[in-house]
Amino acid sequence: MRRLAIKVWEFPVRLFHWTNFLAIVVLSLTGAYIHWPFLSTPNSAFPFLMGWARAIHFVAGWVLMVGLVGRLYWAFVGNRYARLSTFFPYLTRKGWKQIWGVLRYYAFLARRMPSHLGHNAIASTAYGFLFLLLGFQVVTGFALLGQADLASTVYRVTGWVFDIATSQWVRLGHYFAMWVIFAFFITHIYAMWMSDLAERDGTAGSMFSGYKYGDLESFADTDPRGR
Amino acid sequence: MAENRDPIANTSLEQYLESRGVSRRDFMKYCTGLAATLALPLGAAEKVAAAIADDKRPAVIWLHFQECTGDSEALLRASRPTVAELILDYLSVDYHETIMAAAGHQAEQARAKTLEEYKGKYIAVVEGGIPTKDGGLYCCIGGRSAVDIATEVCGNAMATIAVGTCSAYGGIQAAYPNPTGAVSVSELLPSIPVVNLPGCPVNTANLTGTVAHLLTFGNLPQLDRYKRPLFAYGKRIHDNCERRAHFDAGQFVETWGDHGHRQGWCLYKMGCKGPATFHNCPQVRWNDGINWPVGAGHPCVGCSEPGFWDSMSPFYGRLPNVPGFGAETTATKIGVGLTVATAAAFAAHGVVKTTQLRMKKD
Repeated sequence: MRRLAIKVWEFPVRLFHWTNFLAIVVLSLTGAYIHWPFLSTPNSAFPFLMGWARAIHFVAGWVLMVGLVGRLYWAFVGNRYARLSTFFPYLTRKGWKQIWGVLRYYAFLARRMPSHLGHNAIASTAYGFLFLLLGFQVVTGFALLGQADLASTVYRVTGWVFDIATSQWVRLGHYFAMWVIFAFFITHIYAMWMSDLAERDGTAGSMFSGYKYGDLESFADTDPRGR
Repeated sequence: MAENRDPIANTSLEQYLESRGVSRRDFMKYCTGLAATLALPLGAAEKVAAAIADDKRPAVIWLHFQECTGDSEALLRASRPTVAELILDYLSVDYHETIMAAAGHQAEQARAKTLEEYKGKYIAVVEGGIPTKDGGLYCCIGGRSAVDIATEVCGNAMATIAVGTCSAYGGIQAAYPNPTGAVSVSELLPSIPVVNLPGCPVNTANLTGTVAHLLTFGNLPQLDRYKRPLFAYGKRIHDNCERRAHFDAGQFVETWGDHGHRQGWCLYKMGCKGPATFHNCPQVRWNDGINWPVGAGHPCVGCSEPGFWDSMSPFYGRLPNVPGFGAETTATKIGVGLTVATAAAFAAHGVVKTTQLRMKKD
């Protein structure tokens, strides 16, 4: 069967994917240190360790926020695979059918994945929730940062968080979300590897090149220009 | 309580202070400190002094509900009377169950009289949480429920000052599962003007500061989102802590009495809640400004924050435990469990999948 290459992930999608990835890695490392400072500097060999960890955490937080806002913008102007609606397949009847199909495939009950080119229905559901979770991290993170200065713009914009929960609960949520992101990360890597292996659709390389591969059937409803 | 006020009724504040061994100079020093606590500009001390010495003493009704009288104790510290105490004494506390001479019906009459005479002009000070469950029967004084008394007294006051964490947020009796339905003054009476001065106990400096602000400017100080005056609760303990440099440097106490503890390093890893607590303890301190918990080597327990007992415990842990998972279940344990379970599930799936793919190839 003839296999086609098609542009699925446009440049901004790939760009924000990788800036978000880098930001999350840096945020997790520095955040884990801020939660539990496992390195200490008793002899002042590096006398501003926590200061640096926090400074880097805050900068990475800004990067993540910009990445999320940028990706949200692209969800309105990007191609069909980048659209906002793809992240909420469970809102349509057709989407539910797709989710069911993917579930059956994952549980070894179906031989083939329902045809798709962007994300499959379960993957896009997961990414939808991930974006919400990252949004939660950005809001709670900036709220906690804003506490350092009650007159700051950051606090004025995010202080409402503390009307909902006191700062220790906000901290607990901010910290626990990191573990949920870790679990997501494992899922993400496994699913990427598995679908690349089983479907041979070039998933693994697609976030670098932007192209995925499929037979004519899977492109049946696809405009080859990716629009 | 006219009798109560008698010894000072016909004397000026200056005469009164002088009779107690406080010179004009001491008084001005105190007012300067007070102006600094209130974050007022240089020169405001004289205005504060004039306002305090002015003879329009506001009547004060001090109510006790579900509490331990720790806030009154903080005010009345027996060691030696401070200028602050003398001034509060002078500012005519008309009804205070602990210190007033009258008792029983006499005391209740005194309160009723003040309430009538100074309606809308007195200051109500509330100490203790207010139980609302079962008709408020868990705290009754003279046959009336705390809800009833607070509604009447605070509702007719010029302003209410909720001293201590119990009256500001409900305190320990409002902690989960809150069997008596205890609430704070502002939860019970959301529409009246309330200043919260949380802390366990309240710092007298902040109480006198709030009263001085009221006397000097005729209005309540600027408040934060939890109705706490910004002059006292506008900055986090962590951001003004004398040990902060050790935090930024990564120098932490790891166990009680270790090298770092003896060196006065940061108590963050011992569960210090300074990063989550707004209070001026590092500047104002306690016991005549001698020391404060962190200065003495104990982590802050966050006593002046809403939900203190529920969200600041365990006192020696960084974060509260995850609700609904039983004691000792930290977010880290659940997080590691979640991550390991995910990895295990996909490892199992991967084994089946690769076997399937290999069989297909064969």
